[in-house]
Amino acid sequence: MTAITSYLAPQTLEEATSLVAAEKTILFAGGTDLLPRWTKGLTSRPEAVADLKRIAALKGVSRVNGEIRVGACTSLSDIATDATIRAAVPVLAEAAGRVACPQVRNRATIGGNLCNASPAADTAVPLILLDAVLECASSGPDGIAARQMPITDFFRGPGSTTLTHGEILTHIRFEPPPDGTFAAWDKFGTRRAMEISIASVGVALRLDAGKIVHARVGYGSVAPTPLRGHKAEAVLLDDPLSPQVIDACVAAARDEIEPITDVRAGAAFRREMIGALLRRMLERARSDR
Amino acid sequence: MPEVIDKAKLAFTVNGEQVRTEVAPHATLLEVLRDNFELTGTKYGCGEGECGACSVLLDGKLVNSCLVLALECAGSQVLTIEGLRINGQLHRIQQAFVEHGAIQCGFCTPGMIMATYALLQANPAPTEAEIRRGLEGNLCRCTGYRKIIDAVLSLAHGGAREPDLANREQRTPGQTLIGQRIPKLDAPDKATGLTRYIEDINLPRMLHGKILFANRPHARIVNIDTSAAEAMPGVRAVITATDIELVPFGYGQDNTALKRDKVMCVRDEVAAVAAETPEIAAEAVRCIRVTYEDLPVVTSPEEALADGAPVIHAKVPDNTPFHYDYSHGDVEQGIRESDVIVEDTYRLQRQAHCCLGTSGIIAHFDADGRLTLHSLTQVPFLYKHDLARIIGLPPEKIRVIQPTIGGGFGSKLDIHPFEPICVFLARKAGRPVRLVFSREEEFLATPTRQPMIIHLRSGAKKDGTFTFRDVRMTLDNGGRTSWGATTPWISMRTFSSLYRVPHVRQHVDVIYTNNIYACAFRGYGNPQATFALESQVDQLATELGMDPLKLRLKNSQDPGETTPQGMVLSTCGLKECLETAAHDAGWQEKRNRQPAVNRQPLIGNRQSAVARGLGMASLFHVGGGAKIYRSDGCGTIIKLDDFGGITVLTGSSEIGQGSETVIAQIVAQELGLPLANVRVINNDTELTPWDVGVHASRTTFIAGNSALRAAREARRKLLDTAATRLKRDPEELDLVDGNVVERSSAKPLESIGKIIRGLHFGRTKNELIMTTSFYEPPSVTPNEQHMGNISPCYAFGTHVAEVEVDLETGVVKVLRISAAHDVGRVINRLGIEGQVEGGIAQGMGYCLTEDLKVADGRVLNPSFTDYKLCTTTDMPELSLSFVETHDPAGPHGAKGVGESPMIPVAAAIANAVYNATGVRMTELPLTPERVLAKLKASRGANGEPANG
Repeated sequence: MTAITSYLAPQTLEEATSLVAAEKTILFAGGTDLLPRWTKGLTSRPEAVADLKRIAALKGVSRVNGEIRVGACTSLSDIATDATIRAAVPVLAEAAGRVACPQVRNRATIGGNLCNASPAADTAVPLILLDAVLECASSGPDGIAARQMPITDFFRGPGSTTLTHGEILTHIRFEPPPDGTFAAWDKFGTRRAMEISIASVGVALRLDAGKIVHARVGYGSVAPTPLRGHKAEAVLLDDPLSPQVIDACVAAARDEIEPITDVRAGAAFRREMIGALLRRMLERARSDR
Repeated sequence: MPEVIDKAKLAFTVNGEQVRTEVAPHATLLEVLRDNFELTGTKYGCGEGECGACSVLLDGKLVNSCLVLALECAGSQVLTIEGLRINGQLHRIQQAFVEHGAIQCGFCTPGMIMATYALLQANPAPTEAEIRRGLEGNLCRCTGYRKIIDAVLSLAHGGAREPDLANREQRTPGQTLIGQRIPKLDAPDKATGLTRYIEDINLPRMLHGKILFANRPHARIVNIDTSAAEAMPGVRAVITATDIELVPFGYGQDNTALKRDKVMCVRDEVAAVAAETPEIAAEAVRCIRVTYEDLPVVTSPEEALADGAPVIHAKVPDNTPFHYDYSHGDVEQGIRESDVIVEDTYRLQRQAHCCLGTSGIIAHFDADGRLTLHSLTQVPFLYKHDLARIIGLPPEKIRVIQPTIGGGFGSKLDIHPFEPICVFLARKAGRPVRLVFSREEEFLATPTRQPMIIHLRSGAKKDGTFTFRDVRMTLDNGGRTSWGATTPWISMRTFSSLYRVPHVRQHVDVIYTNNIYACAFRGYGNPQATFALESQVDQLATELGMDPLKLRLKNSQDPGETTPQGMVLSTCGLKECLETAAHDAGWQEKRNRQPAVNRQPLIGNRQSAVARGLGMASLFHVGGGAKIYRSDGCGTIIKLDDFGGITVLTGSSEIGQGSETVIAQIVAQELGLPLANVRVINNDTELTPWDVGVHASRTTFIAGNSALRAAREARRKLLDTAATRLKRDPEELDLVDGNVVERSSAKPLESIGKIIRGLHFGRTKNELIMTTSFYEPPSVTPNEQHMGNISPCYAFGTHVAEVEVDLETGVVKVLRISAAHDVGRVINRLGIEGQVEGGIAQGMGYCLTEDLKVADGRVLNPSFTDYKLCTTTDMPELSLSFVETHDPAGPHGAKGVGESPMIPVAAAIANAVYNATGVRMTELPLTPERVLAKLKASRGANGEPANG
């Protein structure tokens, strides 16, 4: 068991990016995943941690040019209760508010939820529905080098992202859905709290003249990464939200996910749950119309 | 080698005080609060943010202190449970928890109170739903959360709601203490974090023990190399089986403290270390190199019985160490007399006790070679006796002190290998050693509820009269034998005697495998048996076309009957329990809803995916111990000081269930002195008289009777002394509210204190009031045919569950449970409600979510993340009724109720699921996955289209 020899608390993004350029320093935000992994010996402790929570620029929710921009170190409880988010994107507030329990939500950050790259990351699916863009920073020749990517390019596999060494996820940005957008998200677990999702699903759609003109579908816990439902979206697009389309969309969703069997649930059951939850959302959208 | 870490300086504010300290960079806030500041009210429950026991406020936000690095707190404000009490006054939240009975073992309490504090700061008047959400991250294993939610609700209404207290001061003069709502005597300490659990006790120069577990299910030990561990600085003792005398122990005499030649399950203990710090001990254990030769693994009883199966214990070549056979009547005749017969196989899983406080022990030898153990055992006197043999020390040289226990539920009935291991480490190191499990070790290395496969066939006549039961049970014994192997003793009593049935036959095989093993757990084989039997009673009702309530009533016993197994039902409230619970649940109206599957339009033109149903199950259990040992008795010593202070020394142990308070009530009532005058000493074998232990729902009955007898003796002495002093007949006098009073007029004549002092310092004779009692119940040890009146009385009860089943996801949501229990007489209403509510929560977990999964001999889910206890948000509405049958042998008519409420829950819920869906679940837990699979299979069979 290694031991951490230094705890670093950079105050600015510049400090942080130069610190994490060092080989043996890892980024530390809420710590709610890292600490138990270290304690149980699932991951050896790093030599140094750089705690990002003291960097003011990485915290909070703001509106910039009509877009909502969320600092990566904003806690899940702050997101769940933020007035802007609750009003403009309630699905994100709900997903953040249903992670674990109050103690964890007060510490865990949205950036950590994403960088941890669990297929079950509850905030990822709503962000997929929103076409969120992730902003990253690293130490560059002239200070900070910035990069951005769509969320669907962020996840590589369980526990793995496309961030390069020394890169820090700084912000998540998205346009609030226009009025008239139906959006829903739900997760399935065997308890009503303290659950790591067995399956989660979200859908966002807009209709114009009886036809679906915009559709986003996302899934959690049913593939190596949180997943966008391209096939389910294609079924919805340009069609009315009819029972037949709902059936076809559910079938497409069940087809395009790749769930596994583990101690929490079997693959077939996860597929069932994606179908059941998605069907309910689409039927609610239909009755809301 | 652990690196030498430069400690970093940390300055922050704890409970309003600015402090500075030095911490290792990887130290958590939890560790620093406990180790650097002795703020031990913040508890370690899991170390991974899954239980909430370590909750504190960090800069006003509720956090798990196990998930915070101490260095993150530089400049921050931390508030712990110790910071809530100001000037010695309980905070109003602490007060509410005490008064509402929200505290049992108390281990979760500090975290629960901190979560409440945070909740009320953000929302001073939360609704019940908001309270449940606010406390969803805090697990409690004792209370079922109901009283915790009640406590918080009382505060939400401005804190003005008067708790229904029965303190002496608040009761009307002369009012009895029996049947009142009495807060637990130890609750204020538990609410404030003052209570010291095993991991809070530090002896001078104490070392820390750690065990190396085999982590493979079946293997020969070829070699153990401990040289690297022994060479490590800070290591003071390393032991393997070659360092100790290997004395077999356990019910099957097939376990030893450490294993020498072979390991038979993953949790087998192979070596152990004592070191200066827990970190060094853990690192040293990691450095021990064991060479194994793996053997074929037997993963199930079926495999163990197959031809050519590997032999696990050489002395048991057929892998079947125990059989049990029981019968009464003639089953073949019963079959011939039956108009309907049903048959099914029921599969019951492993349930983990999940005491919020993990297992632990401290062993300490004095210079004379006498051993003092701080042990969490539930059976201190048998423990001392049995341990003596294992460690090679005469029993009289062993003192067992029980610190406050963070939950028992049967888990501490056995001697577990870690206990003698700790003694051997202390002996070798010549210093005190403390060994406390991590949560992961607790899941991996403590036994579970006994998994069972029960094949049951039973029949009835057309009019509903039960005719026979034919039972075959297979128990997966795992690699070693703990008490789990004996649970058929109790299972068979339910099969023989829950309802009248003339012909019963039961055969049980207990089979070795290379799985983990099982021990005692609340209910002791009865939840398994009751699940099978009460499921089948419902199946019979369906076959007969009878109302399940009427079928049960028809076959219920009456008081005074003796069951064919020889159990004398001195009192029997079964019919009243059935009727009370059914009435409370609205049985008639709701069961008559047609069709049973109650589909209602939910959205648009689609049918609802939700079906509601109602189901019931009853229970039969011992109500005053089970005489399986030569004595089932309990001793009490009472002494009065010169001022009316009472010390009660009882052999019975407090494990959170509230026996201390019940005993104090019984004694205070008898002596007419305030409850506050009573101190109960119940945790030290040097002081307290013998008792067989906390199990078999015996403490209120047996320890209560023992205390009552000692108190009556003291009362007689007081009255005789007073009669002499006052020149009255003792019959004319009574003891009420601290005074000797004239019985006819209730007029106080003299204070009790004065009577005592008069006796002590009198001119003619000088005496103290000290009395003793040893109560041995009139039960008998069953004979070899298992016949006999094993308990002096029996407990009955009925639960009705109302559920909602989601037909598309398989989710079973329990809406309400109506529970009626024959408890003889309520002694402490607050306490007994807590026992029932907590039992129901454990029963719900057993039914719906809890399953310690084992595959290839390995445990798959050893954490609160994947072993799922009910949280606040899962608990249904509860409605409790107490049927008081006044058992003639019970103290004030009381019977035991500790185990009963857990027993029928799973069967009641499964019967409700059947009522809702027409699907019969025969395997626990009822996970959505399992329920949905059965729903789909049944729809397929009916030709209906499947959903989804």
